[in-house]
Amino acid sequence: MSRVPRLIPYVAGRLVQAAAVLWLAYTLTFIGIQLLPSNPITIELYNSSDGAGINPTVAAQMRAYYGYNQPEIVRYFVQLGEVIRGNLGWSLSAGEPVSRAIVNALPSTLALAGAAIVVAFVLTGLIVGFANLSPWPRLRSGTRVLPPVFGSVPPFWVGIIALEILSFRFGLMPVTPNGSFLSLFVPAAVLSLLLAAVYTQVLLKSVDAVYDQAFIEVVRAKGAGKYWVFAHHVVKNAAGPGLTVLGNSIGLLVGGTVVTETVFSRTGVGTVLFNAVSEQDIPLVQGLVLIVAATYVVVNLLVDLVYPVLDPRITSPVTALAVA
Amino acid sequence: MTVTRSAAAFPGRQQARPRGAGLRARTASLPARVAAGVSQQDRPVGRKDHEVARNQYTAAMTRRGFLAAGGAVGLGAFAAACGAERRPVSHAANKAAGPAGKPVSGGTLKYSDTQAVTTWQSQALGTYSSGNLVFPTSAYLLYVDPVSKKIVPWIAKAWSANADNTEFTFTIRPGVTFSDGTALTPDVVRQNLDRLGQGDTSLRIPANPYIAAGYDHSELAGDDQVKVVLTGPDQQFPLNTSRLQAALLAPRTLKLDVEEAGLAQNVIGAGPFVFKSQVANESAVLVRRPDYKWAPASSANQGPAYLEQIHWQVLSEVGLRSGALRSGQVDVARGIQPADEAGLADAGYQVLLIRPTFGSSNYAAFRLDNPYVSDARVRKALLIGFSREQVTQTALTPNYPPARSILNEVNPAFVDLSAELKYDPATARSLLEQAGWKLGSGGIREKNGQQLKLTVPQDAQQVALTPAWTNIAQQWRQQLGVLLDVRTDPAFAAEAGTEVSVPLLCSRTSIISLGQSFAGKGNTTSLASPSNLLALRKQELTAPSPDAWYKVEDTEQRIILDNPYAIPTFEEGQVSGASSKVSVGFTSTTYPDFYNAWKTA
Repeated sequence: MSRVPRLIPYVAGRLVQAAAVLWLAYTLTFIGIQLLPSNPITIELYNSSDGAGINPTVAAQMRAYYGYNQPEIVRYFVQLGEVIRGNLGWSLSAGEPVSRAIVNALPSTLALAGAAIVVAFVLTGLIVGFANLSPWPRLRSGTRVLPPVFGSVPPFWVGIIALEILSFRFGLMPVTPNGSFLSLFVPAAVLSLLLAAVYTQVLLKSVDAVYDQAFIEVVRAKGAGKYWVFAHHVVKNAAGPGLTVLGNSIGLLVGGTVVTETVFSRTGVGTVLFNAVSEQDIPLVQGLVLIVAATYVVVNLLVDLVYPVLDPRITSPVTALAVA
Repeated sequence: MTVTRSAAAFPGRQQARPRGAGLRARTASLPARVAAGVSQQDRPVGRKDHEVARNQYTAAMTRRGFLAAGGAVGLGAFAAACGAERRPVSHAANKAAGPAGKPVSGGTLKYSDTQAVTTWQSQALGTYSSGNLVFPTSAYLLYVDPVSKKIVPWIAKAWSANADNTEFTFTIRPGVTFSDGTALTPDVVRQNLDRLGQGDTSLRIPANPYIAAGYDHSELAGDDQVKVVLTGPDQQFPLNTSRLQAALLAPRTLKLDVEEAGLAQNVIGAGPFVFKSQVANESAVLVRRPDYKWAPASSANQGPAYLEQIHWQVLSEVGLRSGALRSGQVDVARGIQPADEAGLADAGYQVLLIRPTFGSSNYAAFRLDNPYVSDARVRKALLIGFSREQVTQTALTPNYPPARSILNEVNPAFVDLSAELKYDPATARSLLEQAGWKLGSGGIREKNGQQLKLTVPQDAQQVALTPAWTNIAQQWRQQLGVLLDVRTDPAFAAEAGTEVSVPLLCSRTSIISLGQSFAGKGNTTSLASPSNLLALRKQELTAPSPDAWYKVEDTEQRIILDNPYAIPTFEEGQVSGASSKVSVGFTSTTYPDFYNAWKTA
């Protein structure tokens, strides 16, 4: 009840931080691209010259048109002003507005990332559950081997094997996306192995740490069974670090799944970003970096808002002191 | 950030565009998919008459070219390839040919391509993928018949030029309509030519650099003619109207700005297929026009396309294309890697080799002003200082035979200059000595305390080039004491396009003009204008006929190897795989000829 008003300045502070992070990401990207020796106009003209070479008059016209004849600092502020007004610019390499390139790539990425996280959650739950609750010690220790294995197998390899078997041998799924359940689930499952590897390793460690704490003994002394202790006390207390890792992994998923995308013929943000960097398509790179940065910012904000729910000590100095 | 696009002359971009090459990969060894060229384009030229095989006015490899290639490969491979003679199409280790008999009407052809097509705006087209997808929806003034290698009538039923090639008159075929029902009249052609030649600043649509060069204006002549007036001679003007970017568009499309004109549903053409739907970046569906009846003169089919629909989809992972084909998920897959060819052929699939009719071989151009290679003796040493046979045998497959000229072997202007390319390490070493590069510590040549260290960029997708150039680097190191850094990052490759500090640049251009590419103003090949080639460039433009033009190119090929301005490496080509139920040929620019393609049940 009193938590909501307390949250307002907290959220407001975080929003200011978020704006700062986005601005920094945008600015650093701009600087980074300026440091590259070539420039997008000559690359575009070279790519599109079709063997005709680069006409210097055309190059000059284009430079003027896109403002590349202006000093960097002028271009930076002009671009920043446009971005603040919601105009992300024109992608030379894609031949379409940056916003359209992003809108076309984003749904594929979000579907893949969302499904991968769901699958990774399930895998993580199973592994952490078995590793702690299984009545057989060998299964308990055996499941602890899985996360490093998941983390070691390259997704492109698993993806190709999965397609060879599921698509080519048994015809259960198409090799290219067709909107079916399996055509999303399989790439998501492949991607989820890496995620689950990270989630489980973090979670197993913090679960172990919670088990070592004195209050667990107290709870057990009160007569709670092992499932009760695990579900009601251990997981809740151990979830914090896992949540942070989850937050960071979402940002990674939005921009960094180019390998899985390629194997499964999905053109998502990762693929578009890769191509944009290759062709020094500055507006497109910057637009995508903004999207990825915004994802990080939003997810981390959400994580930070969920944290106090899991652990009220975080927003309550009084309780924190009392606990300490 | 400005959103808009400039209205200058910058046509279709080209990204990495995977291509494969080769036939009969019986001994397929190293994975080597060829990819990405620097300046592919469309280059047509053709003859109408004869021999156009029954169901295609396509094809890329003539029987002669096929046999020539076969000779380089060896007997076993050749035997495997014998099926190819049956049709003058692009064949390879092709035990299973396509279906025989009369074309079947109907059905959907599933085609997999290698990369997404983001915009349909004509001047932004340039990748092979964009051509494969957009070409079937378009009609052009002229067409290049890949069999005869001559220009044939399409929307222009006839054309003529004045004596000095500064005026061209096209007679427009009556009764042609766009897919929205509007008529393709001489005036619409005139509007299209003006757009191509001048661009439109207000719509942010650039001019086409080939049409725009020397373009003055077009005017109507009589009831059914359009006259193009140039400011200087250009005998290649008719050829340029057959390029992918020179599609004739409906007046409605011409009114759209660059953004709207990039949307597939807005691009109204007069081709045999019409865009129906798409999933952005993933797939698209084309349907045939039932009222189409204005095919190029060389086409066997003169009515509607046989296929009801084309389902075009992106399959970017090269390792999966063969599986997609064998599991029946696609009927034709572009960009088959060499390692998969033998397996596909053994399993009864067609392996189709296509060489662009007017293409070059794979080559690395010297940046003539780069200090390391500005000395002709150094260039010559590098040209003859490695064994092309060894590259083919150890780093590639027989599908990539050694280049014998700067032009590829099917090019009508091709001259066999393999004597100039003969491996001669002793002479190469002596040339480097003469040029002042002496063996230094570690067996690396040095001059003024500087090592002879070169860099060559590779596009990440050019997987045949990377093993080839790694092998060349080893040979140069061992035989000549020259270091070569083979860089595979695409960002560097993109920069290298205009960077004179990079001494070598790989390409396999579908060159129309060697003179323009190697010496023209603003060229990105040599980044210089050697006067001997520049003079020939003028002769190219004023050549009275294609044969005269080939003669000029004959001289140009010799100059490029004598000086040398480039290092030809291996033959360029692409490989597609196809189900045995599909009959498909290819255009002179290697696009599938969907119009004449058909499929049995």
